[in-house]
Amino acid sequence: MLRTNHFQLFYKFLIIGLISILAFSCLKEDEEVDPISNNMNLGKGFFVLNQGNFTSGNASMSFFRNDSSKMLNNLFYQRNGVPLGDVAQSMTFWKNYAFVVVNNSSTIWVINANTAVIAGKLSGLHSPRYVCVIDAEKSYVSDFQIPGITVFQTSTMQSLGTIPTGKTTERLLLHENKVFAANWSQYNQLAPNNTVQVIDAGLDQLVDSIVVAKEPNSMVIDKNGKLWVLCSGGFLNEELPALFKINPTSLEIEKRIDFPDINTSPEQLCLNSNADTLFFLNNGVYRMDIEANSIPDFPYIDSDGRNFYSLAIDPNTSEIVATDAGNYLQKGYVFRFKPDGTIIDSIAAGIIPGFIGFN
Amino acid sequence: MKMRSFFIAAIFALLQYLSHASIPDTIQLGQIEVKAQIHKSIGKLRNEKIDSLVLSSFKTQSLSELVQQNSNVFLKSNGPGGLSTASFRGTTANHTLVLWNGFPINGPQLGQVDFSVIPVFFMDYVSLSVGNAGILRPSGIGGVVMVDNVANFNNNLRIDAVQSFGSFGSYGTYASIAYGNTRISAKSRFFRKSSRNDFTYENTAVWPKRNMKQLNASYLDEGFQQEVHLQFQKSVLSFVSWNQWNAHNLPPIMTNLERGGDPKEHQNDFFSRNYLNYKRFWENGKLEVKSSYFIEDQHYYLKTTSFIPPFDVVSLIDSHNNSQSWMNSFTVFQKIGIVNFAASLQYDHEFVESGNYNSLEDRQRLGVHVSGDMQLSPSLHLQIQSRYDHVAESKSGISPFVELEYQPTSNKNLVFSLSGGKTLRFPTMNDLYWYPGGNNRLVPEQALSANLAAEWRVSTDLFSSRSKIAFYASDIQDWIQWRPTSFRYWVPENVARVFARGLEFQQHFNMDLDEVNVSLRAHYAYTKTTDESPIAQIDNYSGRQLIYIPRHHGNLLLQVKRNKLYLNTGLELVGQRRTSYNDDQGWFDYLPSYQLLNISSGYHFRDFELGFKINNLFDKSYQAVMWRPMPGRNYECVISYKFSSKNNAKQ
Repeated sequence: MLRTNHFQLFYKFLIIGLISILAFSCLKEDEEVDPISNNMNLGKGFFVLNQGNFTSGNASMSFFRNDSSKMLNNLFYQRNGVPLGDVAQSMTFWKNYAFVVVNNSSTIWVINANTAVIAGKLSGLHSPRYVCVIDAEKSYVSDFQIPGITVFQTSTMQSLGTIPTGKTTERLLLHENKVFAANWSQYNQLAPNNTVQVIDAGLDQLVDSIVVAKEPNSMVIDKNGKLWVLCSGGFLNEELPALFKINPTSLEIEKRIDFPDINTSPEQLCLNSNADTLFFLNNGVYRMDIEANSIPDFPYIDSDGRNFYSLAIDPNTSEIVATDAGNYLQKGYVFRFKPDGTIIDSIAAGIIPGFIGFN
Repeated sequence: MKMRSFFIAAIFALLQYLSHASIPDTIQLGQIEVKAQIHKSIGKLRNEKIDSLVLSSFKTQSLSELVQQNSNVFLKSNGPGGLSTASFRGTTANHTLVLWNGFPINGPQLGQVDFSVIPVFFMDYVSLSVGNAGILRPSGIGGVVMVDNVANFNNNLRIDAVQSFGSFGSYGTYASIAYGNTRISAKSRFFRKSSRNDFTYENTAVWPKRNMKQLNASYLDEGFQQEVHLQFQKSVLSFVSWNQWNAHNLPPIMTNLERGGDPKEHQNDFFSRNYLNYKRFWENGKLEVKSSYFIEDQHYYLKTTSFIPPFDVVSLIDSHNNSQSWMNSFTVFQKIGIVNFAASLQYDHEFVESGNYNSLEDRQRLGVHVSGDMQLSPSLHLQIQSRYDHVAESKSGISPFVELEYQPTSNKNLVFSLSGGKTLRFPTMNDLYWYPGGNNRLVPEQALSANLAAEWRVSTDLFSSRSKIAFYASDIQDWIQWRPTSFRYWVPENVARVFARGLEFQQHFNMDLDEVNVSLRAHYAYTKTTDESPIAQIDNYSGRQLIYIPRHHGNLLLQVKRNKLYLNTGLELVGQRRTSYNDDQGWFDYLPSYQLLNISSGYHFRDFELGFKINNLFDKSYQAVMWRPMPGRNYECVISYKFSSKNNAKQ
């Protein structure tokens, strides 16, 4: 009798064990995201690249639609079914295409700029930062690690070689067959990072160099054809930040304007649609006439506790678009302002919105 | 999730219903090694010892797998050979204290422990403690993992040898030789574990999706441990030295496989942990003097080369970090009347030399810990503790603690425990001295915690059952968080305030039927942990679960043994985890839940044991950390040899 009870109990427990395993095992599988239709044209608006967190692979792409004033988030994944990658850095537009540089994935995606659908890819790079399209035959890519600029065929995405520069490069700007390359970073190199190098785009050779201040981070060409270079003064604020006005033909510095406070890091220099007014970030958004001789004392748009991270001016409307990276761990926001600085709206993007791209 | 909770509740309720018989005391089988309760200051309901048989069945694995599959603790793992850190009760790896023979092995720089490189083979005793267990030493706000070596006198000669072979070119060799008589106990252990670790997985992060092999993920861990214990009339002198080398290649995440420049990235670590202990016993008392000296050396290396010959070096990082810790404690235990007193004085001095600091940095810590416990009545037991810590460069603090245990005289099978107190966690050396960003104005994190637990034990001559449920809440103020600044580098600040609460349930069941033994161990944890600081409210993520901590986590281990044959079935459940503080339900904001089933079987014959294990039986594709691939179904074969001159003599 006792033995029978023992076996009954034994089988009961075996059944319980099996039920337990079933209870844990037969849970609902999480479903994959279905890519939405690839045919939908994005319409007018602007792209936002969200860097994501370094080594987390959570970069993403957003698109703000002018007609609906809505942001399409996770656009790249939704259109293509693959993640954008690790640290989305920049976009460069060429015809109907956009080159999307994903820094830590060492990849440049080519997408249809109207649909965000993948059209091609260049991988195997080191640490790409910005693309500068010369023509259909070639484009340049700056790099955070290698002391040179990678050249690839624009139409085929085939690598063509490297232009030695002796130091790493960041922003690239094409003007009258010259490419100006900002030597922004001193990471992992001894060469000083206080220069703008000049590349002959016909010869694909480094031909000259202009000494500016530490960390030249952004460049524009104004309506008079002058090159403006904004320097942040160094990662550890070693020197005063400065703004330079340079003659791009003679390569002479025509004007240097120092910032008053060494403990600031101005960046994201851009121009309005008339190319006569400079904008940049320095906690708040600053606005400065190209004829001015000093940095404005007060921001044009105060940060008001926002962590402004990237800046762009709508080339059609001169509306000011700035991103707020927040705490870097959750979605950031895109703020739109009228040209007079009054806010239009704010809308959520992805994690660390770091680049705004108008086609 | 509701359905799952219902199932779990139903299973445990059914188990209790079946084991309703009320027999006063559990009869335990005698064990070869008997270990005294080392840490008397931890109440039995807050301490969970991992059974020596379970330890034996995980002997070829790391502490990571052992804890992950046998406790309520959540392990965040980057995959085989990758970093694996433990999270207790909604806190992070920094709040998990790991004590080896009573000394913290959390490195002074990061303050956390990689569980994947701690071989279970080197441990004789493993236990997990929660609810202000960190009062023994600061920093264990979440909980404490205690791993110890145990002297084994009178065992004569004993030899253990284990060889494992597994998928993906995985090999493990483990050997120990021990000798003991009434005066001396000595044991030497050695292990070598390596793997190509090149498993195949579906990479959904490349275009187009395709099956790929894990790249640059091979590893080699090897080490030895020597222990000597000398027993005199009323005293014991012990020395243990644990030396280990870990060489790990570092695989890129799934989105970063097409990096140019033929990157070579690896991390080589070495540590030497040495411990000396003297114990002297007298009637109703004990003196324990301990000293340890730890050396840790970490070497991170990354090299990329140019695309074209002669393949010049493009990027080179060759970073060395070295730390040394000298830790000491002097403890006296004495029973006076009905009160057991303990008082401990601790003095530590740690040094760190790092390329990321401006100079060699050192820090001294002084701690005083006193405790007393007494049986107030046949059913009430009271424990009171307090510690004071003075740490250079940080604010000093007192950590009090009280626990009341109630065991009804009418039903000795039930025990209730209510405890509460305060625990501190001091900033790590990186928090203080990292350049740039280190912040020497940081104050210690302070956790106010409360714990309510109940345990129900029942046993018959046929089976025994133990059910335990615990509710807890911790309010952790001044939580250190690295935050971006206008200087563009990040700086640690005491800004977060984390409220962690939840419940833990465990059910252990053992049943003997003639020659069949059935053992079931199940654990389930519900964890809600959120940042309720003003900063979190401003940034609008207050109330959201902390990143990479699942709300639901559980495991189940079913062992069936008949004579010399055994079959183990292990199940792991890990719920959905946040990967960001976004409120979206998108792919990049959450990692999906997963369930894994592992089975193993083995047979003992003479002095040998042959085991075979299948991990991830259903070949589940999953990620524990975003874009870190995990292996599908894989196999391991283990051959063990065990020789004991004592046993042989008896035969």
